[in-house]
Amino acid sequence: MTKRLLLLILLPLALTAQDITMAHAKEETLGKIISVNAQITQLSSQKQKIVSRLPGHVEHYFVTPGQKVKKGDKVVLIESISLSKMTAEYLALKEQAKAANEKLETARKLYKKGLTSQSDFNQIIIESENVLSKLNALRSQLTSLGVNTATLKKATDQFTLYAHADGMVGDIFVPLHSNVDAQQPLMSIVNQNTFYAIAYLSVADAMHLNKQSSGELTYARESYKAHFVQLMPVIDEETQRARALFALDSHPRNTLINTFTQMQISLPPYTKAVTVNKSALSLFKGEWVVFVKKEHDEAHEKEKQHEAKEKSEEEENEEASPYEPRVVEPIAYFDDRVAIKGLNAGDAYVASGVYFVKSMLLKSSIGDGD
Amino acid sequence: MKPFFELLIRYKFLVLALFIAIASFGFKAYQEIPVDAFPDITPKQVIIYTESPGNSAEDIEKLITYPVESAMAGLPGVKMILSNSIFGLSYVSIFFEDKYDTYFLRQLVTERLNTVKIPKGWGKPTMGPNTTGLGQVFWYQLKDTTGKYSLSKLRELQEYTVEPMLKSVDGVEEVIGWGGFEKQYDVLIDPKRLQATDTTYDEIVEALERSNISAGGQYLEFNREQYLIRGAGFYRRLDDIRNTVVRSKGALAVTIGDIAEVKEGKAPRFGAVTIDGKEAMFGMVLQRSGTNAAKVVESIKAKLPLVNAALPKGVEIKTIYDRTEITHKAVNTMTSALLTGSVLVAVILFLFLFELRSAFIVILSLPLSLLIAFLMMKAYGMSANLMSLSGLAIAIGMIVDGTIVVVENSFRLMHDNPKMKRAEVIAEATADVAKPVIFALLIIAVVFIPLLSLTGLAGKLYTPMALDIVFVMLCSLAVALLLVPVLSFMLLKTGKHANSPLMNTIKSIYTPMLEFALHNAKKLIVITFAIFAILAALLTQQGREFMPELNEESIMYRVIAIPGTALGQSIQSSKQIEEYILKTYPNQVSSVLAMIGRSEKGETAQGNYMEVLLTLKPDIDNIEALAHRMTLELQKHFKYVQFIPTQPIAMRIEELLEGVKAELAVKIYGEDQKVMDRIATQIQQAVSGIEGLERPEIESQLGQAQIVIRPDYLALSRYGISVDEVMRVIRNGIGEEPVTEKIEGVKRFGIVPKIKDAKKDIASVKAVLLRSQSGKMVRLDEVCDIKVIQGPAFIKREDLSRYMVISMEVEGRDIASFVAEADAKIKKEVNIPNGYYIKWAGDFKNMQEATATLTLIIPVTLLLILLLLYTAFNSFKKAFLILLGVPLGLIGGIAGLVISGEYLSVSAIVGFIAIFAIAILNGIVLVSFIDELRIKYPHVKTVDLVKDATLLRLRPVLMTAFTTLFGILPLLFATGVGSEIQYPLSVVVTGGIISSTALTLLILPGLYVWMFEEKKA
Repeated sequence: MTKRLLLLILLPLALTAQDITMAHAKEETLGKIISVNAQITQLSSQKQKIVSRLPGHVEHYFVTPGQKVKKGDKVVLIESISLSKMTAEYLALKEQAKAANEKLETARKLYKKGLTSQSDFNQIIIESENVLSKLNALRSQLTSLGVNTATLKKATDQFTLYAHADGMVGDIFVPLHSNVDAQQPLMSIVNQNTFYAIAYLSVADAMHLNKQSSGELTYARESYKAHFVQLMPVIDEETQRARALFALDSHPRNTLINTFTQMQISLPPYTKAVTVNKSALSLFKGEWVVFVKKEHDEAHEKEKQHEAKEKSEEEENEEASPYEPRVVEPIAYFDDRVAIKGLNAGDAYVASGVYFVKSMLLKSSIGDGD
Repeated sequence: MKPFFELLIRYKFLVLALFIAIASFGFKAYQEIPVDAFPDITPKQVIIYTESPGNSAEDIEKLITYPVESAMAGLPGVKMILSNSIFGLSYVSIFFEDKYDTYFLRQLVTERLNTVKIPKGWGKPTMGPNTTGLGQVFWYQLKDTTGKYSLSKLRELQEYTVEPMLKSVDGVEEVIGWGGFEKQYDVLIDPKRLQATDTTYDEIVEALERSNISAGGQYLEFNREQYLIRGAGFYRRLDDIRNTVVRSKGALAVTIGDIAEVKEGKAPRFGAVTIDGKEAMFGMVLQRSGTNAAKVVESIKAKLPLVNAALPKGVEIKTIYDRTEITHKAVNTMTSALLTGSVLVAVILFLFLFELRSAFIVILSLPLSLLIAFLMMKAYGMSANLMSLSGLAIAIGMIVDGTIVVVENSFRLMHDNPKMKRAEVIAEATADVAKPVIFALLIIAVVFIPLLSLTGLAGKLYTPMALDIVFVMLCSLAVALLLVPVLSFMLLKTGKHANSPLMNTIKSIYTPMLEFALHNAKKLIVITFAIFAILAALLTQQGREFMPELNEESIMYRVIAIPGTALGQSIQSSKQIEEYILKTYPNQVSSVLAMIGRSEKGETAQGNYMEVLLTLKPDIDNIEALAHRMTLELQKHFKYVQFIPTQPIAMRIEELLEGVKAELAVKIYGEDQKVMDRIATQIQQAVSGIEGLERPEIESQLGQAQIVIRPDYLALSRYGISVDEVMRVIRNGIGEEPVTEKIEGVKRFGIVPKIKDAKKDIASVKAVLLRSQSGKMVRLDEVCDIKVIQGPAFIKREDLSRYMVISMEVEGRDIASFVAEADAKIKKEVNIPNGYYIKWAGDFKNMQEATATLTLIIPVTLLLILLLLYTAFNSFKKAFLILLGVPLGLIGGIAGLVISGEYLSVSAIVGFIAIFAIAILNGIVLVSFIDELRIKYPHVKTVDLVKDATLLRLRPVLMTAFTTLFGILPLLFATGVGSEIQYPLSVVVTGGIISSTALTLLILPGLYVWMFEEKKA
C-alpha cells in the first residue's frame, strides 16, 4: 500500500521532473590534468658528434645523412698529413727503439764485464728509455686514433673514423674533399631511441610532479605516452616556467626536434576526497551547492502523503520541492568529477537536471521578468 | 428666442445646405480618421539604450546608466526616470509630462546626451526608436521553404535585404530582427602556439587591425584621360586573413595562419526565436509615434510582394501578427454596436410615436450628430478606437432625446393651434423647450467632465470616451435646435395625435401601479432608500480592478525562468513548450512562436525570459476557456518556469504600468543590494501575519553567476604583462568582441581573435595562457584572482536610486486598510537604515489615484449640476428633488454589477456616471411638466395633478429611457474583441436605466407630493 502510494506521489514528479537523476557521492583520490606546451628535444649526451681529431682532408664518407649505423661502423675516411707523419715517426722510432735496445744489451754485457763505466751505462739506459717512452706515447696516440700499431708496416695517411654508438647519421657538417682541423666536428650521430619532451609548466604545478606523473604528448595529430624523469634545476628564463623532462615511451617514425607540441600531464593524486559529478554543482544564493533529498522520518512522510492526497490539485502543485540545497566547498576539479567538502561519501545527490531543481526552489522569486 | 427660430425657418434652405455640407465633411472625416484598437495610452517617454557587449550589470550601472541618468535629470518636464542595467545593456527611460512635443523632447535629450562621457570601448548611448509602447504593429517570420539557407544566412537577408526595404515604408520607424545567428569570422588562436611562433596576443590583434585597410591615391593623367588610383587592402578572402603577417624575422614571416585557424563563426547572442520547435528568423516592424497603425500596416503589406521578389527563391515573409486584425475586430465590434443601437432606437421611436414623419426626423438626427462628432474628433486629433467609439455607442440613446422633445412639442402645439402659421407655431414650440433641452444636454455633458479630469493611464483611456460623449451631445444639441425646427416645418403635418398601441398597453398596466405607489409613498421611499443603503454597502465589498481585460482573441504567455538561466536552456525549454502545445492542442493551435531573451535593439529581457504567442485556428468557440485550461496544463507540465498568461496588447500595457505589474508592491530604495535584500526579507516576515495577504514575493535581483577576474598587480609585474593586455584578452579573446570588420559589399562582419577552447568551462577560462612581450608564459589564474560569485542579474533604478520590489496580493479585504496596517507594522518591526526608504506602489495606486481624483471632482460636479438645475427651476428644493432621483438609478447599476459578478472598474464607474445623467434627465422631464401643470391648474390637488402629469409624461420618459436602454443593449450582448472592456459599463447602465425609469415613474411622484403637498394645504 505504501509503495503504491509512493508511486502515486512520485509518478507525476517523475513525469514532470525533466530528467532529474540521482547519484551517490564517492570517496576517490583525484589527480589533476593540465595541458601545457612541450618541446621535443634530445639530451646532449644522446647526440654525438664525430670529430675529425686530426687535421686533414676529408676523402670519403662511408655514410649519408639519415643512414642508420651500428657501433664500430666506418663512417669517414680522412687523408691526414699528421697521421702519415705520426706513422712514419712511429716506424722510425720503432727502428730506433730496436737499435737502442740492442745498444743497451751490448752495453749491459760490457758493463757486467766491467768494460763500461757506470755513468756511461746509465747514459745508455736513459737514451733507450727515452726512445721507448717516445714510442709508447706515439703508440698510445695512434691506438686511440684507432690505428692498429701492431700491423702497421709502413707510414699511412689514411685515417678512418668509426661510429661510437648505434644511431642515425644526423647532419654532415663538412663537405667532402675539404680540409679540416683537429677537433672539427664532421657529422652527428643521433641516438634514436631516447627522445624527450620538455614540458613548460607553472612552478606551482611543477612542485606536484613525482615519479608516478605521466604525460601524453600530442604530436602530428597522434598522441604518445611519456613518463616524468626529472625537473630541470634551472627555470626557463624566457618563459618563466619550470621545465620538466619527460621521456617518450614510444615515438613517431619521424620526430622533429625542437617542435613545440601540446602535452597533457596528470598530476599525482591528492589526498582522498569525496567527489561528485561536476554537473551536480550549482550556485545558489551566492554559494556552491549540491542538491540532496529532503530528510524526513518515515512517519512524517506518510502523514504528509495523506495530507497531500487530500489537498486540492493546485496546492499539490505548490507542494515544496523534495530537494534542498546543501552548501559545499569545491576543492579540486578533475575532468568531470569534482572533490568537495560538505557531503559524506555515499550520500545521494542530484547528479543531473540540477537546473530544474534549482528553478523549482527559486521560482517564487522570479519576479516579473524585466 | 422665438425670432431666432423664425429666422432659421425663413432661411431653411441655407440651414439645410449648411448641415448637408457639415455632414459630408463629417463623412469624409469618418473615412479618414485614424483607426486603432486602443487609444495611445503610452506616456511621453524617451528611451536611451547603450549596448555594452559582455559587461556586467554593476559595471554598466556605474559607468553608463548613472552618467546618462544624471545628465537627463535636469531636463524640463521630466516626470520620472527609470533605468535598468543588465548584462550587456543599459536602459534608461525618461518619462516626460504629456504637454511636450516628442520631437522637441528628443532634441533636448540629444543635446544632453552629447555631454555624457562614457569610457572608450564601453558603448555609445543611443536614443530608442521614436515609437509608442504599442508600436509593434507587424510581426513576421523570414521563412525558408527550401531548407537551403542557414539561420546565419537568413539573418543576413533580414539585415541587408528586408530591413532597408521595410524601413523605407512611410510611418515605419524601425525594423527589428530577432533570432538567427550573426555571422562573424573567427580567428581561433591556440595560445600555446604563441610560444612556438614567438608572438603575443596583442601582436595578433594589431596585425589584424593594421592589415585590413584601404586608401585612396587620387589620380593620374594618361593619354588625356584620368586614371584613379586606389589601394584596395580590405580582406577579400579568408586566405587574406590567414596570410596576414604578424611579425617577420629576415625572410621568415609568422602569419595568422601559423598561429590560428580562420573560419566562419557565429557571434554571441542574447536572444533567439523558435517557431513550432525550430529556431527561426523573426522580425518586428515598429510604427513611428503619431502615425496611423492601420495605414502603416497597409503600406507594409503593399510592399511585401516587392520584398519577397528581392529575396532568393524559396525564402519569403510570412505574417505572424498584424495589429490591424485586432483593430478591425475591435472597431467592428463597436461600429456594429453603434449600428444595431441606431436601428433599435429607430424601431423604439416608431413604436412610441407611431407616426412616420416625426420618427423620420428624430432618426435623421442620429447619423447627423454622429457625423458631426467625427468631424470634431478629427479636428481634435482623436483616433477611432475601442474607447472613443464606445463613447458614441453609449451616447446613442441620449442623442435623440433633444430632438424627441422638440419634435414632440412641435407636434403637440401644431395639434393644439391648428390655425396659427406653421412657422410661428414651430418656432414657439422650439423656443418653449429650448431652455430645458439646453439644460438637460448641458447637464449630461457636465456629468462626464469628471472623466476628463482623470490623469495617468485611466485618463488616457477614458478621456477620449468622455470627450466623445460631450462632443456628440453638443452636436445633438446643435441638430435639435438648429436643424430639427427646419425639418419639422418642412415635414410635419397637422394630424391626429397618434395613439400608439404599445403606449395604451403600458398605460393600462401602469395606472394602478402609480395609484398604489402614491398611496404608500412614504413606505416605498423608505424601503427604496434602505435598499440603496444595503446595495451601497455591498458595493464596497465588490472586488476592484483597474480595468477589465481586453480579449484580443489570442493566447500569449510570458514565460520566466530563474535569473541567470542560459539562453541555450531557454531555447530548449521553448522548443519543448512549443512541441507540447502543438501535440496537446492539434485542433486549436496552428502555430506557436517563442521570443527568447532580447532582440538586437534595446530591450531589457534576458535569457531567462520569453514570450510565447500562439496562432489559433479559426472558429474556436471559447478562447478564454481554452486559455485557462492550457495555462493550468502548462504550469503543471513545466514546473520549473513561470507562466503568466497575457495578450499582445495587454502585455505592452502591463509593461507601461511603471515597472510594477503586481496589484500591490513595496518598493525599497537604497544603495546596497544586499542591504535591500535583507530589508526585503524583514518586510516579508513583518507583513506575513497580516490578514488578507497572499503570496508576498521578493523579486530577486541577485542570482547571476559571474566569473570575476581581478588582476593581481604583483603577479602581473613579475611576468611583465599589463592589465590592459589581460583585459584585452578578456574582451576580445574570450568575450569575442571584433577588432576589425570584413567588408563584403555593404555587409560587414566582425573579425574576432578568439582564444580556442577558452569558454568550454570555468576551468578553461582559468587556464587561458598569456604570453608577454618578453616571452614569459603564464596562466590567467596565476596572474589574476579568479572567483565565481553570484551578482545582480539586473539593477533597477528609479529617479537615480536603486530599488527592489516585494510584490503581494490582497484578498478579502480593502487594499487601503491593508496598506495602512502593513505600513505601521513595517515601521515598528523593520529596522530601515539611513539612506534607505520604502514606498508602496502597484496597480492599486492607479486605482487609488483615479478614485482620489474622482472623490474631489464628483462633489464639484454635483454642485455644478445643482447650480444648473437651480438656474433651470429657480428652486433649490426642486433641484434637490431631482438629485434625489440619482440614488434610484444607482440601485439598478449596483444590482447589475453585483448580479453579474463584475469587478468595480473604471469602466463600471463610467457607467455610474452615465446613470447619473439619465436619472437627472428623467427627473427634469417629469418635474418640469408637473410644474407646468401646477401653474396651469393651480386649484387641483397636488396628488391628482402629479398623477395626471406622470401619466401624460409617461411617453417621453419611457421614450428617452428606452432609447438609451436599447442604444446600449448591443454593447451588453456584444461578444467581439473589445466588448469585455465595455461590459461592466453596459451592465451598470442597463441596470441603472431600468431602476431609474421604474423608480422615477413610481417613487418620484410620491416624493414630489411629499415635499410640496403641505405648502399647498
